[in-house]
Amino acid sequence: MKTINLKINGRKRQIEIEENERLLDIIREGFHLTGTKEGCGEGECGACSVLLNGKLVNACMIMAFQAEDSEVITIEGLGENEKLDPIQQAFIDTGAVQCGFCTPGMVLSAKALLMKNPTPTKQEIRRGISGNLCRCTGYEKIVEAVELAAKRIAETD
Amino acid sequence: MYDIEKTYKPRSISSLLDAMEETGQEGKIIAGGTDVVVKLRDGALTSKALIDISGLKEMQFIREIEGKVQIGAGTTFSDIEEHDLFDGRLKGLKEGAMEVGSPQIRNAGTLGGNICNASPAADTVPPLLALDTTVVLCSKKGLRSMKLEEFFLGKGKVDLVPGEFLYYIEFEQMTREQGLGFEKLGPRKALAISKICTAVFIDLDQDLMINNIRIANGSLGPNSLREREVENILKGEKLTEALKEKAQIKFKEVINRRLKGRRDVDFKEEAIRGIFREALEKSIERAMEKSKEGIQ
Repeated sequence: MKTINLKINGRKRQIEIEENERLLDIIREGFHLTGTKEGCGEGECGACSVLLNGKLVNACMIMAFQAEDSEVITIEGLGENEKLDPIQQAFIDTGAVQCGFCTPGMVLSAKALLMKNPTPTKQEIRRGISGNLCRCTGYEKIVEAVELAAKRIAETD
Repeated sequence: MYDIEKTYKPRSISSLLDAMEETGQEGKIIAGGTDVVVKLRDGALTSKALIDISGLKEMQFIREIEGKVQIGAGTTFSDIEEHDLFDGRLKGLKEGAMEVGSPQIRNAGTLGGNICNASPAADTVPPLLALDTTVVLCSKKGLRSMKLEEFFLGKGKVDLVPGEFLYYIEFEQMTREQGLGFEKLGPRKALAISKICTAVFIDLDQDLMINNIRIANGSLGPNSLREREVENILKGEKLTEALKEKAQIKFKEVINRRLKGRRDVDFKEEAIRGIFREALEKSIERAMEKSKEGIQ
């Protein structure tokens, strides 16, 4: 057991962790932020994607103790109150959500991409979400959703 | 189930060395975790203590010093991908880094991890071998350096003694008339373990004489390795179409001999001809690029 401090979705938190736990474990079991999913557990599917210090990572491949003093953003950290993040809204409007299991990770991958590259090409979008598997949509709708989100963000800026 | 009893998050190299001394054989360095966590979970690694270096700024750098490029072992693949030092003649290294896993893995995984895991399929290692890279190791006794090529002792094994870690790597900065090319063959675009990856460093003068050439492969042996037999065909010769074809045929022979008896030999001996040719052409193109003003 040890106690670590970190900032999660903008709030400073302190949490007791087990040495064996992964970042994914404390997000889901410790903070009860169950939007972050566990799929493969070995970095292939991207369902557990979160932003760690602004960078997209798989929370299943990072030990909890490594996240000490870091800043984590999960899907729950996007949007405010009743207002969704433009990426989330675009996923709904485009029909990019089917079973929904990959969606939190997909949305965060899109977020990481658009933070770095606000006007990505289709190919750049595909590369941006290449670490996330979706078994429902065939990806077309997801790529469209990211394009739509990029367009809307550009219009509001 | 794995059982970690102690964890360390050193903030300096000296406290890293202390943690390594304290944990001895039980201690395992973890950076991006992209290999270590997976190995812990499937039982391939049984360390009782983890030492995290992902926050160690002292090991995260890309710099040029006295004609040499130095890269800290804690530098991520994304750091390499985003650095403009690897846009020109050195682009082969960036191409290797960009082939690693996925955005998530490139953001977390490090160059040092790619080297120290000694996977035969590490994507950044062939470019580093083609650059004749030196590894600089650090322990309480000080620094020790050796050629990357000698650092590998077989699949999954490197020449690190207890209490020692990989600090940074270095290689000569490219000069005019030099170029680095890279090509990979994998089953799909992302998250694919490479089936073959090849890097070519070439030093080519204006009359197309090959002053020097270094070729390295991944996934065609227990570690990434230099292909000296093929290099010898090309070195000191004038670059012609006939010579390129001769080298391709030689490459096929070398791979056939090495992989004899393996079920993928027919595929790989054919594939290497194309992959090598692509990497070679890229290196030539970069060697012949006009130097930008102010940059070598």
